[in-house]
Amino acid sequence: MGYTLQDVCFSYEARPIFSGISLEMETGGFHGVLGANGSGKTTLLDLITGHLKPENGNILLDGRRLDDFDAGELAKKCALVPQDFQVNFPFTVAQVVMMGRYPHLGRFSAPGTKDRELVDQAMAATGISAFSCRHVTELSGGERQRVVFARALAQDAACLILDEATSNLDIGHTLALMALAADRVKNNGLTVICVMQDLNLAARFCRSLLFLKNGRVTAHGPVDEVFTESVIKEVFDVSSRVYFDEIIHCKQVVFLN
Amino acid sequence: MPAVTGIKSSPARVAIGLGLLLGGVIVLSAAMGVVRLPFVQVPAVIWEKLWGLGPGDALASAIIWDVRLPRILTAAVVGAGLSVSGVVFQGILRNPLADPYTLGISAGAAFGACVAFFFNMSYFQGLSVGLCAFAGAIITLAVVLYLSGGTAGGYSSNNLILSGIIVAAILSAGISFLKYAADERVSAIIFWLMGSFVAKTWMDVGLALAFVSIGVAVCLCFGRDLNLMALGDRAAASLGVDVKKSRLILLVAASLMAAVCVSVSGIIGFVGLLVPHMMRGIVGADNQWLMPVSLPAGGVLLLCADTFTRAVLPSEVPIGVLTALIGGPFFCYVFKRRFSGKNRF
Repeated sequence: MGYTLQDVCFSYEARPIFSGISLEMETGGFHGVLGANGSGKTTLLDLITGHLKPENGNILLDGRRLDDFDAGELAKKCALVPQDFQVNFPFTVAQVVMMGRYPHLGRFSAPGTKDRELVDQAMAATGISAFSCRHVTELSGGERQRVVFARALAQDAACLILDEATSNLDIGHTLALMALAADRVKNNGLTVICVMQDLNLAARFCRSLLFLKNGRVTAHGPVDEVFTESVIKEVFDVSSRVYFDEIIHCKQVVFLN
Repeated sequence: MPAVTGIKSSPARVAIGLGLLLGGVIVLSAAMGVVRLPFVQVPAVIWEKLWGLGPGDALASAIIWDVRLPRILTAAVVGAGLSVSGVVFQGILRNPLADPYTLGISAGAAFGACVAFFFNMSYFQGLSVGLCAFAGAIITLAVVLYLSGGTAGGYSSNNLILSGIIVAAILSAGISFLKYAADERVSAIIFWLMGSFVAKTWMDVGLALAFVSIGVAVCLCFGRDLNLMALGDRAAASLGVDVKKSRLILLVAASLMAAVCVSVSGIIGFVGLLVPHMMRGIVGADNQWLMPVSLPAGGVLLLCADTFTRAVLPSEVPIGVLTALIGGPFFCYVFKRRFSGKNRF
């Protein structure tokens, strides 16, 4: 169960990104997607969210073809925190977080008590309750990213997809949000698929890692197996030393270049 | 349908207030004019017409019912239509500076009207100019949609704006040529382009009302989609919006409203740009409320402007010129105060 890609091909105009990629990401896991710039990480997310259609091959969600879901159904199963988030209109923070509830509402029905509770919880969990009435246009990049994260939490989907969702956050908020996601994976059975740049952060929070290089899977498996010096050398062309950190009980890496 | 929390003023109250204000302004302006009539006579005339009673005062009845009300209602409907259309265009194009004419609808309508004037068309009981303008607007919309669709980012904001600019530039050249070649008919073209509600009939009211009602109804159904589109295509799609389809439906609905408004009254600028901005300052950015509030607000604004030029000024100024003269500086003021200070772009 979870996401299955079978021999998926995709290209932008004449530039091929994937030529026959197959992989599986099971439900209830914390999956990290790592790779150099332009290796196809965001394209992979676009494909599994249904934003882009594969030219060939199948993408299955819980054993069902992605094409067979309608957009509203998919929105209830899968929430996305996109990389770029620009709003030109003065929506308030609470309004944007409430938009995470739209897929659950009828076209004209007003949000109920449960919707408001979920919005309040999501804002509290991401630490943005204090500025729920401010306009998103006036927030800093990091604050805006937490708002989008809260919106995705309010969407209450079984799968959370993060596209470099912590790229603008300070380390305190980054750790808090990743810990929050890891906690939901452990206790609520949430599935998280997370594109990241920070290898140490990925090694610490993810349970399985997928390394992409030029649209091919270089390594895919549990962190202990694939988080190695040779894989990092192959994917990023960087010499490194991987060690087990006794204090945080996970593998970490230092770079030697 | 109060959808979201953290709203500034109760939008429902603002909408009802503006609706009542619109009713009041209609009655007031029907009594104003060269022949001043007592205000109470307006509801009296409307009452007797609606129930088919004989006129109590034949002259007053003719002035109010046959002359002033068609013009007043046309102005109100056009103002309302342009405002809602403006909200939708700003939302779809994700650009607060967009308005109903950004995609070249006005240029297309103007070109159509110019062609009608140029060939001195006078079929369909004087409707030919309006029909040609409408046809011009629709063809322009079709061309813009054709140019901007088809690629990977189908109907994306940039594609649409660029296509609109290109098509409008070509049409402007066409208009200039027709003006140049039109000889003595050039004055009719120029007057039409400046917009006017002079000599509107009940048929104009009916046409504008029919299209605007349908357009507004469609747009109101897609208020939430419009909100989500403001977050970007990726985010909107992940929240269950079929972005391409919703955008196309909204574009066609908003463009049809703008097209019929332009065909009925000529090109009246700034209403579709200003009203959404003003209302966003009062009720916030939620399009589900912004549209129902902008509807009466646009009606009030354009009707007040038209009444001002008709009944207050010593001689009539074309309404398009007046809205630009009042709206332009006001927009500069809003722009300076609201946007540059707080860096909203």
